[in-house]
Amino acid sequence: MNRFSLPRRGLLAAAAGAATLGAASRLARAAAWPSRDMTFIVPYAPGGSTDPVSRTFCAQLEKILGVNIAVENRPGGGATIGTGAVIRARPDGHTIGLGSNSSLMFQPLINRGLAWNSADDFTSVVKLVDLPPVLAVRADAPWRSFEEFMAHVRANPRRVRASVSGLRTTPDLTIQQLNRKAGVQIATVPFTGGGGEALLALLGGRVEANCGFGPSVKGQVEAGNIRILAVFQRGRYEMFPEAVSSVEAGYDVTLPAAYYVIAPKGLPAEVQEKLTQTSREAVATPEFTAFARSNGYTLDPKAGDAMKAELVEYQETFRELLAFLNQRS
Amino acid sequence: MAAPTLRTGRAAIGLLGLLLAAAYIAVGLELPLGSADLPGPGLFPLVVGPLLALVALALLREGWAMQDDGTRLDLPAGEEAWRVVLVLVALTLHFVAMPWIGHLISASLLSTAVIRLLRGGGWAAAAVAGVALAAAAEFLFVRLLQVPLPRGELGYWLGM
Amino acid sequence: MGALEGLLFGLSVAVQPQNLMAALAGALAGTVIGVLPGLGPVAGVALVLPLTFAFDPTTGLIMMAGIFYGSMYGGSTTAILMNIPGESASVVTAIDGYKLTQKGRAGAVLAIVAVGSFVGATLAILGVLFAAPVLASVALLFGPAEFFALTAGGLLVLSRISGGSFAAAGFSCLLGVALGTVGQEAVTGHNRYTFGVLELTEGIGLVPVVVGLYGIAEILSLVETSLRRGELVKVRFRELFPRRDEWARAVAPWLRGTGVGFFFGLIPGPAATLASFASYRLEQAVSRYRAEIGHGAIEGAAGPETANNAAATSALVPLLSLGLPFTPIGALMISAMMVQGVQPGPLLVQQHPDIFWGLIASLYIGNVMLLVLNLPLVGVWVSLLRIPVWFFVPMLLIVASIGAYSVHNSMLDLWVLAGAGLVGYAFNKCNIPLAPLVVGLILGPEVEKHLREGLILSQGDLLYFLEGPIAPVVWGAALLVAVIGALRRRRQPEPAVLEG
Repeated sequence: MNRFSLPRRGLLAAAAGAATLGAASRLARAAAWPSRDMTFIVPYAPGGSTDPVSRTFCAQLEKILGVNIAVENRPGGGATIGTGAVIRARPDGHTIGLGSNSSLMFQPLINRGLAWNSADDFTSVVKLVDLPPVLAVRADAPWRSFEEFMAHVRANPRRVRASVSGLRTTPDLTIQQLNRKAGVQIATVPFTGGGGEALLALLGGRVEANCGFGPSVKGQVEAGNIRILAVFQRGRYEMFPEAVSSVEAGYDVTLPAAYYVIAPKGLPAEVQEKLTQTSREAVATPEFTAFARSNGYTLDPKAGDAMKAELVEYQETFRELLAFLNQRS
Repeated sequence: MAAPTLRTGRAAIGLLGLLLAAAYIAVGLELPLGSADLPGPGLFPLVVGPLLALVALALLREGWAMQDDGTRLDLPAGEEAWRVVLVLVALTLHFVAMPWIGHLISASLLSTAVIRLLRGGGWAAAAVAGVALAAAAEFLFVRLLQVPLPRGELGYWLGM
Repeated sequence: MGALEGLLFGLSVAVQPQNLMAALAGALAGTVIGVLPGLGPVAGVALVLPLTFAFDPTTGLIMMAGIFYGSMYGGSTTAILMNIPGESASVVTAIDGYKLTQKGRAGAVLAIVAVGSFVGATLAILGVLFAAPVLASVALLFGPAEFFALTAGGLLVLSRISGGSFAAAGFSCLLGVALGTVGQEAVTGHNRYTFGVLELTEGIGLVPVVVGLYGIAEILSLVETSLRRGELVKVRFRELFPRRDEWARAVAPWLRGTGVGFFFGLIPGPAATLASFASYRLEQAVSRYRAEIGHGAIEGAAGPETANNAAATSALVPLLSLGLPFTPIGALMISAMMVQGVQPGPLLVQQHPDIFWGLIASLYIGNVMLLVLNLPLVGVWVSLLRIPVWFFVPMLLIVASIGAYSVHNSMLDLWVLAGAGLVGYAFNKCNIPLAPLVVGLILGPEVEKHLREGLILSQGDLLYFLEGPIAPVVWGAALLVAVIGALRRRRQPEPAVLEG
């Protein structure tokens, strides 16, 4: 096992050598993973929060493995197109990709005919980060705290509107989860455009609240235009330490956007082991953790079976939430 | 062989448009309409479909009522028509073959065929120009601009 | 820091060698990317995004801005020379630009468009510099009702932009709107007209449609007539530069185009494309030479190309001051900043003056570079017309296919490209204008989105769409323009289609 000491040039030459052998070397290659450049599929368009996190991870994994990793954006279909491309790829460890709790576990519940139905249909490699949703109101709004806001919501069912970045996106589902657990009726107003228009609706005074993600609202918070009332996670949020945690406030609503690295199912055992091990190392590098911190991501290191267990739990949460939404409408 | 008149052409497109609009509405009817305060995805197609049918009908009527001044459509005939069809066939084959044999080989074949068709002369000369063109495109887009073009099953087996 | 001090500080940042190099490299690469049909500003910026992570934030952003501007400059080249717009913002430029090329004025139009782009961007930079804080709030005035008025009214006004009979233009426009409903619906995520094809959920792409409608259709007619002509267009090469009267006629459209473009850039949406269409429509209405527009008038190319560069510049106002991306390029630039730990938003000017002012100053420097770069290139581009047809046809087929594929890395877009090519070919034969289809495809989804957002927001109240001062004014103006246009046209029984 000399792969870590081999300089990159040498590995590339070795890969080129293997390539000339062609089909005959196919079996040998599995043992010497990675034997050529890898592809990392991001099921979202460049821009937004998912592309940078993927590229930062890949840059670290490249350093550890000593091969190039081409990041390929395959957006569309609520991230199901790119995710499907990873899952259907050849299970040799050279094609991996980004998955989220929503694309991996929510989409199969509302979309038939996907290449996956449960966490058994792909390989869980490593969890990258969590991004918790936050609840924001205008700076001049009458509610000073999350408690006051919730009291107002309770007294005015369906009158309080929260803008979100699309129907059944993580922020929308978070508000629905709050509706369910607290027995209130906040109306969500779905906008599009990656959360920008939803925030604009709050700034322009067209809605009472906005549920979105820290990085996109941070600028407006610092400028004193909006305030963060709550963050939907256990414990305080490093980006907005003054915001109360939903759980501390007595509402068990934690539904972050969680991002993972996945691979096709059926990887050779030694490839899977090495992929998981090196990916774990990449997530633990100072570069990756510094990136996560400065962009409002929460680190929650998990790999392999622990990650899979978390996904199974999410699927159950989503199923309950869908049942609640269907029965209400 | 006389080409159809402009009148016929217009009317034909109008008729095709009408059929398209009918199919569009039929499929659109199956989409959820939603309610006034939460309109579903079926609302807008139900506005667009009938309007499309209306203008298609207007186009058909326009063709019908148009004075036939003998304006013929400038349609290709004979060898010219063949060329258009052959280029379309070559392009279709290029798209079909690309995922299997990869962009480089597929584009070489496409440009060789098209050059041979348009310039005449020998296949060898056409192949030289065609391969050169495809290789230049591959260099510019894949190497310099990092566009991930399909390498194909063939590319995979060659270890590319 | 005041605007002037800021600009001086910005210049000191922008002239640092690595930043100058970044601007130059960006401008060069952008020009090449822009000239290739199908590869537009978005593709260009997306392609260099990973590269910028390696630089410091200012240098990375300057490079992105250079690519962006460069591809805006380059996008009109093929539209003018070959009637093949490389991206949607150059669709209207092709109408008069190509007619002028056929008259042997290719060099003149390219030069006028290059100077116009420079004028539009430079004036817009000054506007951003002195008025950014005030203008930032313009975006806040626009909610679903105002956007609905703007986009639906725009559809009404722009559908007849390139002539044709009522039925022909209306059919083309509504076909575009209908195609725009294919795919995953923006608000609910429901799949429409996808028939189980996963790739269709992303919708019918604008790039493959535009390149197919114009590029592939043009190629097919080249193939058809290739026996009759050896080269693309017979050009007389003696007059590469504009005549004095052509310069004089371009000044008013430049200024009007800057105004239109600057306004559209402030409003979230597909600013550059809308601005070029609106500028063309404005020239049709107010230019002294309006009777010539559509038949090869310099105004028809000078206005729109100035407008789309001005819009691209003023679109930085909501991007930098609100920190909200409303265009794919804005999203890419914000993504580039965030990777570097820079938070875009109202405080960007205070927290990172070097980035804010450096970017503004380098936009200016980038534009000077592009002008210096592009004027000598006019001769080079015009000589592209000498490429023999037998080589040009496969070259364009390959480049257009790669351009269409690269947007989403999807094979489906190639079939859309071919299909759009057939539609464009058939429409050309039957005198049905193509530009309304593009307008419909761009504005249709916007109209629907804002309609649905407004209904949800007002909980089903239709009167909401006429509330406030802005929406009724926009509706009034749109109806007025549409009615006047219709009255003017009644004099001619069958308006000619203005496409080459």
